[in-house]
Amino acid sequence: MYAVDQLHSLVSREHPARPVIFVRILLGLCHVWKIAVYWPVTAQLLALETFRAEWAPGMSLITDATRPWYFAIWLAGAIGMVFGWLPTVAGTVCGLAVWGLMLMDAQLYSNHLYLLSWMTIFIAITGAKNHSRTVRHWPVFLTCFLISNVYFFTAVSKCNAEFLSGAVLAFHAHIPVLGGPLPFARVLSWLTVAVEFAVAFALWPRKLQPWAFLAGFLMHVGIVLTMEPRKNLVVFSTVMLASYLLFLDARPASRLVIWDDHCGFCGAWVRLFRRLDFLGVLRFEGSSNEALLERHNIPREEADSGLQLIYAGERKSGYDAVVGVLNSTPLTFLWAGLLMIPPVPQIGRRIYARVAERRRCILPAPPVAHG
Amino acid sequence: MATSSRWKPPEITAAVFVVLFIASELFFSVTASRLLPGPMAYRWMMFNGIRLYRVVTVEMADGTRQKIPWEQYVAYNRHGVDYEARLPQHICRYYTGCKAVEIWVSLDRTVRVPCTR
Repeated sequence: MYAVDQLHSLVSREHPARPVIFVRILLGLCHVWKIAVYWPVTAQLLALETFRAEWAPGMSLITDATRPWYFAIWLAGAIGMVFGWLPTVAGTVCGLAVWGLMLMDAQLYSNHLYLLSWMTIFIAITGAKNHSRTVRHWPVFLTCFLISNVYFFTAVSKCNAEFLSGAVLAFHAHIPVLGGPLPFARVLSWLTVAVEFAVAFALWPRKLQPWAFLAGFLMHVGIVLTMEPRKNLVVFSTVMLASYLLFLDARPASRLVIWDDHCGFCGAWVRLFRRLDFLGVLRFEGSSNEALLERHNIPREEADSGLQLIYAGERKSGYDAVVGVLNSTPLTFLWAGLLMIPPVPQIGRRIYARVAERRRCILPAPPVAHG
Repeated sequence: MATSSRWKPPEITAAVFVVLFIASELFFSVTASRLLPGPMAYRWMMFNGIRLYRVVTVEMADGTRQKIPWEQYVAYNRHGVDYEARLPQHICRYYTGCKAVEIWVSLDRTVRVPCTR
């Protein structure tokens, strides 16, 4: 009964819309990119000398006559996804267009297209419009499941002597050092498998997320910079990294930020944080609010000497609060984990304390909207 | 418990879809990762079933023929990412002295593609 109740909770729950809208826009852009990449590829496939293996009659919708229309409809869908015009229809069109492409090319190995099509269809099912506040949770959950599944089974399938010997990476990754002694490539191969296994699980628990985001970010940037075909890998990496947003706790105003609202210097930082907070997960309050300080048991001197972040029943101050804020905004959450790797926090805390001591708050704080 | 009475029809549909999707993804991912090396966690089920039995035959210049099970070809290919429509010419390049490639494409059909160098 517990499992049934959990399943019911999964399919009846709502999810904050903003990260889904963000992912929808990025997916739309990925489709535009794919259209540009596959327009010439389909011309090549339609050439007479190309071998065709149609498992079933009429498998390919794309012929010389239908090709321009096919791509025009696909492009319209992609633009619809970017701008949020009929997002469910647009996403469904894009998802199905990718399936049509896979059928035409009989691309049994094109895992990237397969992933892109399902993700697009799931985002379409959420029906995330630009003004939506919440969307269905279960398609978001399935997208997250897909991502975890990709990492886990990619790691599983790399657990073979050939890959772990380093030969595969030495052959495919264009890193000069890998062309040298094989141990470098071997270490990188083991590291790749370890990161993929770890990221598959670490994307879920909140405490481990910053590390998972950082590891995944570095790995995907590495893939794009060192491997071919780069045109396709850019889309793959974008799709994977964009989906990390769906793992993030994006409940509106779920993180309370208390700052010294008597200080213009602090106000400038808070304005920057507000600009970065596309997801609307931060709620800003001034430290002049005595009742608030009392409610959260924060001594006044602490509130005046450093930023305070209260999230999930935990309070962070100063440098750690800044890192916590950066962990929650779309432009910074992928790399904010860098700021948690020793000795960066130790150095960061000292610099923060020094700046906090020496800051001049003669000027009154400029107006920053609270809440 | 009154659990079942709370379910609405769209929720039942969604729940069935969620369970089936997760089960099928896990099943085919396990199948694919067991069979194939390389970064290939995904396999489309219909194609997956066909692939298990597909055979590629290489016809060498001296007239001899050599059967290559699909999985073996993929293992040779190392990275595993390929486009089947362009596969024969890939195989031609891989096997020095190869004159043509025959691919078993369905129960009653084999396609012979001459190598074009």
